[in-house]
Amino acid sequence: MKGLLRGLKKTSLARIATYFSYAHYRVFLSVLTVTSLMIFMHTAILIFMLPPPFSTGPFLAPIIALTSFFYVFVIVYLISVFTSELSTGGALLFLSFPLSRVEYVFSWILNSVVAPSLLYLLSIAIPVAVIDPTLVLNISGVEITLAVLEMTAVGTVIFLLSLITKNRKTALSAGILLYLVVPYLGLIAFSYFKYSLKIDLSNTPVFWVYEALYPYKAGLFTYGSVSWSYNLAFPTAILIALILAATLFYSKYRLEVV
Amino acid sequence: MLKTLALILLLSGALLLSLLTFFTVSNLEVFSERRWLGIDVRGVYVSDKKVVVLTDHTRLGSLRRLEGYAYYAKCRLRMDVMKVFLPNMEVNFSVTNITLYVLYTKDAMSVTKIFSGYLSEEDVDALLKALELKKISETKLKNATTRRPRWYRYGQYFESDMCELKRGELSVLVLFEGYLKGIKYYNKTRSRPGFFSYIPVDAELEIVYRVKPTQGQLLRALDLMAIGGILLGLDIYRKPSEYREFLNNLFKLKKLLSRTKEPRK
Repeated sequence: MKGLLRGLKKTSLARIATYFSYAHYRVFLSVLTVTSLMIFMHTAILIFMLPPPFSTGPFLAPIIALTSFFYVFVIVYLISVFTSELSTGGALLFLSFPLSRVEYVFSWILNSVVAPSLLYLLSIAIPVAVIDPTLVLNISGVEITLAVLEMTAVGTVIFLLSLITKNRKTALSAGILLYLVVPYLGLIAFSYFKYSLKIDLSNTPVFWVYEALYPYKAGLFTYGSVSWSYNLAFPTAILIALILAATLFYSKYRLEVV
Repeated sequence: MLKTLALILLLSGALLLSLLTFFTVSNLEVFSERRWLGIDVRGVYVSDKKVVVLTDHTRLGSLRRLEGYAYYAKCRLRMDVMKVFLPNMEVNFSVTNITLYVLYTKDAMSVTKIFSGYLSEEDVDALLKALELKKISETKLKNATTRRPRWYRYGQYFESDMCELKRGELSVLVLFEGYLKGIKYYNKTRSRPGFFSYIPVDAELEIVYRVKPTQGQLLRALDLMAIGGILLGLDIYRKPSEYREFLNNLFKLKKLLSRTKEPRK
């Protein structure tokens, strides 16, 4: 770990920034188009369909459920671009320049997971903040934070899997599985265990992992049993940090680019 | 990334500004929801001429009012027969006035608690004063039987105008006033203790939302556009080569426009 941090300290931020802007420029138009569409959808839904004035529950759930469903495809697509660069040998070209593997992988994490999540955050936070800034400080702020953290956490897991397998199909299938199938199947399984088999999994490590990986869905669907607060964000933040460390560790010591 | 950020800020600012500006000139209802009102009778006054019926309050819940949004309530009511059923009699009356009151729930609770059961004439005066004092807003329901919806085939149909709702824990109640037409007494003993009575009406409340953008909202949208513009300007200054083609096209367009403006010789 110390070696990894030392390695990170030595890496030039300028090199990461340069490669990141190059990689971002390659996907600039698609990211901009989808994010603009998201902004339009968020604004329109917020003005025309919301807010239900007498509801007390999570306020942005209908918006986030709809738009995050589409937006995750951007992250999956970007990770698949990275994987195809690794598998087809495009990465060799960049790594032959003074760019280390850690810098290269870190730039791609920024480009494919962090930047789209932040853009999603902006696309939803901007309309909310313009319409009523007090909302961001209330329950909507928690909602937005948890939704973005969930997107980032799952994105980092998919990124690590894609990095290990160096297979574009793995990135796509893991993306669809982890973003769209596992969270809902997990909920069905939890409720089946609880109500049919009378086994409560809510205080077991299985549910803790679920809660850390999907804090927004855990807060939304188990509303009442899980407290809807920023406390849900801490396990996810720790999970993201751990996966990032594992990714950088793998890229420094194990990654072979052929 | 700076370019993306700048364009996103610029786009979202422009979109919000145009939508909000559209709402400042239009009076469009953006959304509405409907609720059935429970019409249990809470208090009743019957004299040889006049009948006043106070219904129980219906809780709407806690209204969370967002900046720039205005909420209104509109009531629709259908009466098959103009009767009120009391524990030992059935009062037939002709409606002259139906009023919908919007109150804070705690006020509505105290009013319906104080003025419950059989009321005297003094009670009715006090009730009207109390409602006048505590109400957030009120609206009179007008007879709209000629415009009643197709599914209401029988009976009298009443509709109210919009009345504004305020932030807080809200309730609504309806007050019927009319003149007595007849009383039918029952010889049965009361099966239950207490004051059980009802008025056979279908009442529906429609809550309408309208956007009335505030100056703050418009300024915030404008700020976003300005920040986006400044960031884009900075990016153009930082990397003019990326925008060279765009700037060239812009200059060409400018040249073309200035040429078309020149008077023909």
